[in-house]
Amino acid sequence: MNDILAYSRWCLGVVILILAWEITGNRGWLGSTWPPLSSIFDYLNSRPNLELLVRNAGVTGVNAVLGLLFGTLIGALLAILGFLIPRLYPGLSTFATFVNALPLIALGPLLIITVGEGATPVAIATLSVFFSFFVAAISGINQTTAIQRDVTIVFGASRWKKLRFVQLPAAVPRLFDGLKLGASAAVLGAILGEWFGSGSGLGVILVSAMQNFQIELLWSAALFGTLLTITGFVCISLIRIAFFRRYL
Amino acid sequence: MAEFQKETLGSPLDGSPPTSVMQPFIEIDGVSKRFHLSRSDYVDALVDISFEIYRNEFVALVGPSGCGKSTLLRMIAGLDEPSDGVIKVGDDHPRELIAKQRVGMAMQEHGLMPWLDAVGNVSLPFRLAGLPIDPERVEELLELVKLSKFSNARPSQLSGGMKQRLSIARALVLQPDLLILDEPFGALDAVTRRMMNQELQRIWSRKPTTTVLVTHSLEEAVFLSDRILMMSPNPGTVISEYPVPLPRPRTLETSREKDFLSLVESVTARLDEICATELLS
Amino acid sequence: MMRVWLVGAIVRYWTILILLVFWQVLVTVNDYNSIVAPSPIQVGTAFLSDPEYFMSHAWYTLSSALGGLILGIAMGTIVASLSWATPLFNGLLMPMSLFFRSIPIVAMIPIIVRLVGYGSHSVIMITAILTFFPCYLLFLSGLEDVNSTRKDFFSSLNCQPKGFKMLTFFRYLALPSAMPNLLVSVRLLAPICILVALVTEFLMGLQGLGYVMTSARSTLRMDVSWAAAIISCLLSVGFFLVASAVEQKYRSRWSD
Repeated sequence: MNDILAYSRWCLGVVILILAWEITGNRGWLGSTWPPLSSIFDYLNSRPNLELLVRNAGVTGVNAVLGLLFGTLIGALLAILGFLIPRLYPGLSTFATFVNALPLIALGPLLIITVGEGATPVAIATLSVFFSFFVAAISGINQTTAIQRDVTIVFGASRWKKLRFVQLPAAVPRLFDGLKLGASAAVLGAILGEWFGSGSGLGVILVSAMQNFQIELLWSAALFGTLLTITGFVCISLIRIAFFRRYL
Repeated sequence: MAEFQKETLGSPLDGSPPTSVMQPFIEIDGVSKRFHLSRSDYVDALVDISFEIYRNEFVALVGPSGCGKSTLLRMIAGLDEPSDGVIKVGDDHPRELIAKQRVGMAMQEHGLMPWLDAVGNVSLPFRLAGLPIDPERVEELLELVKLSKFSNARPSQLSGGMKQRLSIARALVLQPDLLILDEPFGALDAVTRRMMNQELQRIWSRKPTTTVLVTHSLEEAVFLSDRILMMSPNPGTVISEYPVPLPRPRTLETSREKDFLSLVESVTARLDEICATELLS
Repeated sequence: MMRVWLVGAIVRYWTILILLVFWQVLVTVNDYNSIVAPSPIQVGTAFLSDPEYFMSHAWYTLSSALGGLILGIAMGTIVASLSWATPLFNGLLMPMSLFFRSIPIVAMIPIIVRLVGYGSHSVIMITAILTFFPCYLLFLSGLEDVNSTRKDFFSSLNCQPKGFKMLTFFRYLALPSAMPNLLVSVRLLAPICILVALVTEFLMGLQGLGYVMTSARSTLRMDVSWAAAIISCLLSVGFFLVASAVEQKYRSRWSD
């Protein structure tokens, strides 16, 4: 009963959000930069507009996926390294915190020189994914209780075996959480990276539409960015479900 | 010592009340509690429980885990509603007593506020009741639980036993008409627990208050209470009752005496019997 | 004594050291000139040749980020408290904030820049808007996630999170219980507010370190651009460390 009430409040919230957007946009209460939702869909209804956005979203998507891949790999490798060689761990965790505290945008000037303009989106996406996955992996690996760890020690398991059979399975839920955070971070990183002289991508469209007052294009690009993130969430959730079906 | 073992199977109301406390204060009449697991599935946690607790009586509820003693306690305290039956405290709904701020409560988890010091924690009931804080009363309570020296310490700076004593001081500060204790020393080690029992017994004997205690420890139940109600699970109900005619004040010596030990023994035997039938069924 | 300290520092900071060495090696081996990639020394001289220029822009960035953060946190805590008190309000706001949490909102700053308009207050306002949502969500979950024993104790004294004792419940239980989450949100948002300020400056191109980074690049002063980028990094890391220290220090006051 309480659930139903909360749920209906929630739905009401969504409906009011959409209605408020449409009405304020229609009346122009928030200025010309706040278009009604319907005008964005009108804009996307034309073939060239849609193609432009799909093409650029594809570029950003590829950048984000690469960033997610590299970032996850690096994060996982460093987390495992930190677990197998405990001496390295404090330095790795300082590094992760340091990367997290860096403003991604400030890495732009440094990265366009070191890795080139084309690879900057992937590099920034990689760095931002790295942090969230590394933190998730470390906290996941340390999820096991002291008793579970003691039991493996009593059975004389090597550090590697301990990781393989106890720590890693225990970490799986956290790893998926890290991946989900990473999906959003990857899209953000790719778009920020594209602001630094990349030829195409949603980032380029967002900036040029902003500068040229192409309001519908601006909102459409934002919509596609959101869709990319949501697609990432959905894919990771599906993988998660498949994984749990297969192994649990 | 069979002469004080008055066991009344099935009808707990037959037990004659201790002569010193004749006035019923809490009346529990045909109380049941049903928990719904899903739309069609449910468990009966408690079924048709009836008994009375007398004014200024100390009653202990014991029984195997899962017999619903904590649920019953929450309902007596007015924190939960029975599915069926009536609970009256002083001729009123238990919530009326809460509304008058006449209930004191201490649980296994101390539930102290980490952001307040000892004085702040013990004064909190005054604030919540909207009463002016009585610093002397707070000081008196800290004295009573022997924490005067720690009046400015935060809970994180106190040991487990000290935290429980503080939580008991907090429960007593408004001089409640009903004291609810749910495993107050459950998280403590056996030695500390014995000390705590002695302290609680001393504090209680100084000013007897109607008290309902839930505990796993039968020694604790015998040591502290005037009467023990034993519950059995599936479904939860009261099946035996033991008066505890040991004189007060009770000390650590009491807990080594023959009367004490034989009462503990017979209560333990009964509990074992319940657990054994539970396992067989 | 000295050796112990040195070993401790290496254990903690070896990754950063490797990164610095890597940078130096990269510049030396490839023999970049200063237009392509300035060496650390060139970046240093660029800063020292006009420190006031950098410091005034850094101050602009820091003050607008801080101002925005304070505004965002103030709004977040107030709106979360109102949400806590009125379930209807909560239901209306929740979908919006979850939506904002799941999109890469920093990438949407171009839109917000257009909405807020170009002006001296834009950076503060945008920082405030973007820090509002995380703070709102965290603080609200802190208000709602009250330890059940404490809640029972409050109930036993007739103090419920509804009705006329609601304010008492809020003042003595919900609010203090949410303090650790407030500290966490300050720590999490410290680097984010700097990032948001930089991004906004970068896009608007009026003032601040974000502006220096782009404008210097367009005039091929890579040393100036890098100096601004490095100052931004130091600012962000420094602010994060301060916020973490504050959290560490006060956390134990509010939690078990």
